[in-house]
Amino acid sequence: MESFSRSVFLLLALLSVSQCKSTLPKKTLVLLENLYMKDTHSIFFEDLKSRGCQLTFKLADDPNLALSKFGEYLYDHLIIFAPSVEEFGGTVDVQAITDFIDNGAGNVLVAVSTEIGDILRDLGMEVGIELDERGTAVIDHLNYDVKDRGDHTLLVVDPGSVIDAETIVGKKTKTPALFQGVGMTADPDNPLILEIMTGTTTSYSYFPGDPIKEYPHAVGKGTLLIAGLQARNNARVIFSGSIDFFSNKLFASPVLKSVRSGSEFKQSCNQELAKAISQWVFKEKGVIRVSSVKHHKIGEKEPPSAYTIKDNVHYEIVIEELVRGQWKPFMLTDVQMEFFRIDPFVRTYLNKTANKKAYYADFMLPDVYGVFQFKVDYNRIGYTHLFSTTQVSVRPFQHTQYERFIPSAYPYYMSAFSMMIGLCFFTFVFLHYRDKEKKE
Amino acid sequence: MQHICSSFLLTSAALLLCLSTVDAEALSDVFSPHDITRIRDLLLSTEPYGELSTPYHVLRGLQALGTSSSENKDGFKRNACAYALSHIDTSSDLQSLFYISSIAAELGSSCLPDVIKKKSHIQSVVSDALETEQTMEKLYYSTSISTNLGLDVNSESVLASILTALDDDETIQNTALAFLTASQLPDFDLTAIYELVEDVVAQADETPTTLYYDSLETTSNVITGIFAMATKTGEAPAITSEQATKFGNYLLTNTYTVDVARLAYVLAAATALDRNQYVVPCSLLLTSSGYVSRANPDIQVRLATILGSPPPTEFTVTVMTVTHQEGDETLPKKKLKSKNGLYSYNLFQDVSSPGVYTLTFSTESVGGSPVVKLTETPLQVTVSFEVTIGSAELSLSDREHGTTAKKISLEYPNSSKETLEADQHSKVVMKFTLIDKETKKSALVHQAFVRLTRGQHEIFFVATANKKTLQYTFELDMVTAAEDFGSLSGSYAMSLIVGDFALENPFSWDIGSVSLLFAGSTTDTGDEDYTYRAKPEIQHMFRLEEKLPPKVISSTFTVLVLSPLALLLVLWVGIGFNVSGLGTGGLWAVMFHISLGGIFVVYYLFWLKLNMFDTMKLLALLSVPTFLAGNRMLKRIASSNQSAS
Repeated sequence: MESFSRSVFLLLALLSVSQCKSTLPKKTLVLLENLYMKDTHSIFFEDLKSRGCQLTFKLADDPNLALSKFGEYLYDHLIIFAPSVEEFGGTVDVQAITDFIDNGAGNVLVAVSTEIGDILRDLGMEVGIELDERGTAVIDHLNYDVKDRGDHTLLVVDPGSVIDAETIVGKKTKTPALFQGVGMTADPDNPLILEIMTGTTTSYSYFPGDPIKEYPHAVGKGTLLIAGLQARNNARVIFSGSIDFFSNKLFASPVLKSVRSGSEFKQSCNQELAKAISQWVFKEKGVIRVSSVKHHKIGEKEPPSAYTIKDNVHYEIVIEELVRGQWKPFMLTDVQMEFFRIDPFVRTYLNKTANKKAYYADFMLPDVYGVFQFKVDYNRIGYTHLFSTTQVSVRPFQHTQYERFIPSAYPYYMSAFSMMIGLCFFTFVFLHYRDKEKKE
Repeated sequence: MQHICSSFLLTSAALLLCLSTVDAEALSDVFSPHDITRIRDLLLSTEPYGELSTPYHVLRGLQALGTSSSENKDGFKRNACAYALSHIDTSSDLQSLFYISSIAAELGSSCLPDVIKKKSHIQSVVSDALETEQTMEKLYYSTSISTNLGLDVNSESVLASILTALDDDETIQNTALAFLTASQLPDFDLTAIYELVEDVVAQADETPTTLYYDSLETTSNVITGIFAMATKTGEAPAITSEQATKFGNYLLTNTYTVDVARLAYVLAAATALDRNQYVVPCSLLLTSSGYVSRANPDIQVRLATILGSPPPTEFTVTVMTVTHQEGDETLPKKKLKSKNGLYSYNLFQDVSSPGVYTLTFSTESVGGSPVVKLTETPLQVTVSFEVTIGSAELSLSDREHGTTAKKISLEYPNSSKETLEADQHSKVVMKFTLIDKETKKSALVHQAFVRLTRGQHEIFFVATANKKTLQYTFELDMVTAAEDFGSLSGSYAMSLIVGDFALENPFSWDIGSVSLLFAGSTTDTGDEDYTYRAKPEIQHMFRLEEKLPPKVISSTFTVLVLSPLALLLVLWVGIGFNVSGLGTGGLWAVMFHISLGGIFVVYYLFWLKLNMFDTMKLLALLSVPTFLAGNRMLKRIASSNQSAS
């Protein structure tokens, strides 16, 4: 008995080990400008480690850098905290990084400063973010912090300038953030760019101290301070114009606006914001998937080989969200399903099932036959793109399925029946009629 | 006032370069009182301890910050001691015992005797450890344990062991530990080790402002080791003031760490830099705001060592140069008045125009002092000014002929009630001047933007200044600017944003609104963007039921179509019919009529529910008896007719 219970225990232990393996630490390459950035940004890195990222720190010009080996990507995530780097070491270049995003679905976090090198600007261009030149900074004469050193570039960013998406930036706070760095603009033709943090109306990006001769690269709310991108393959990229944004120093700094002084805040919200943003970019948040889809006629269990028009159909989909390495039911109210043939014929919100684990919709199929799809296309800011289609065919009524006793058609039915009955009588009489005289 | 904003890119770049080369003469910053309090609170609140190293680091950090006795700290000491004592018997490695002994030594009489009671256990662990292999780390731990507990140390043998250990593995970390170990040896000639200092310092990694090794622990051990050796030997270490400052700058990058061990390392090294007798890096700090104006013309600076305290001896501070951002340089060479360690300087003695100035300072010790002498330490100070709008007018002119159609004069800070209406043949022009409130002269600023907004959409224009008249002009050409607006006609709110680095009162002035009508204009398309939103619901529109005639009509016609059959039957019943011929057909006739009727029943069923295939099958089945019976029946009828005739 004891050995039995021990073996059960062993089995359970093995199971739990194998479960742990499913949440392998995410391998993350951190490219630094100099090694002591590990110290100046230690809170941020420690936080990443505690969340299960396995960080590999390398200098950005390390001659042995490589993102892939023998066609396999070595890392899940890439952090580039090396603003002034002019050329990466080893085999890493803009092309390698864009391949990492495109083919490896790798996630990239880039933070730059006014020392920005051209290679990072090129990388920005590749993903649709245009960074301003080296030496420029975002200036805001109306919203700078008291600790600013005279060039009005240590900006106080109010929560209103941060994107309204909880998955990316966490819960709303009233505390402002501090930012010091270069401005960016989004390529207007790229709809995938997310404006995570923007400047205020009075901000602009220019060389501090140089009189304005050309139109600034970015002005007003169009000045992006932190921009994000979720590629079509769900790879995520963040560009922050400020590397100091992630530094221990700004994490711990109090915030007080110099001009039109508002209230003082004991601590900026940089730490929470940086945490939330890194959780998003490294796919700890906002990752959803479809785990199962089923559909059938109401009152049945299995899907038919083909539906008939005007059938009452039950469609059910289970959507799950990745929460700390485990898939949990994902429950929001704005998931929609389309019944689709070239154009949507029906688009309806999905209801939650009673056990709150799945979504369903009961509806009547349209009176049009053809090949249709049940389509759930859930695309929201901060979430991976969820797309599910299930193809079904819908055929017209069989002749027996039409209505049988239409009152206004009674004359037709009756004339047909009277013909038939009449024929029966007539043949009978015609064939067996005998003249009376003949008998006589 | 022009000089505020004319080009000085080259100068500022040169200035930056020059800053970075001399920046290492003074510390970039120092620990502020705020930092010290924050760190002390953090250290004191570190409980419960997960491992022995934690209370060791906490105590080391607190010791570096200096004593500030409080209730909280006493309780804290008791806890640390209890924690250390509880681990003595279970600790059988050098490192743990090193932590325990260090904690006890730090806590002094309240804790040390209890640890010394366990002396024999500790000594046996130490001798066991040293028997096998004498690494630098072991030597450091064992020597420290002996020193902490006040046991005897054989200096000669330890020194010999240190040198052997270093020969085996001369890493920076080991050399630093060698410094720390050797500095604990009582009265001995340490030259052999002390002369390694220069080498070690030369091996540090360097950036323009910092010196460091691969880890904070090593860097900290090197610094503390060097100065412990210096104190021990009484000789100045082979480290220049610039190197000491650069080490200090590196330590300062760790000010905001929250890790207790890291803080302890930073603070220990910072204390070594702060309190030694040979080379103490320092910084010159602004204690007043970096902005001065005529109302508030003084700047105040102070000297501070890395932990934020003033230098122990008196210093004179001299302003060497005052350089305007444009490059105008004056050389005041003024010694500053000092009061309580604060040096104040009236900047307006030497400058008058607003702008950003870089001041360089030099310091001179009154007596001799280990505190590093500064020669050209820069500080940036801004002479600020206030502006108001002098005159401003908004006009509408013809883009080809330049004739002015309408003019509105504006009055700051009110917004205009009148609205300009511009179409594709016109230009919107705004002219304004900015007046320095004090000198009443025209001024230029860095940011003079005109902003036009409509909903969430905002478009900016840069107002350009005429270099001679200093008048700002903003022009909106309705044809060339159409693209910026996406040719979206409508009413736009207009405002002027004025800001500058030296401006005390940056503002955004709501001017009013203009109505813009672009050629080929589009209005809001109303097409909403559903990329990231739920789309509107779609209900399928089912085909409507056809409208049917009323029941009365269909019933009437039903009766009508049935009436011929009814008439036939009625008439037949009336005239009577003789079907005595039935006997002739016999059984065949009966069969024929039944199967004929059956065919019609199948037709009826087909209408109700059968599909075509079933119907065909049934009909095929029925057709055979019908045919045979009909044939036989007709044959019989025919033959009986023949015989009758």
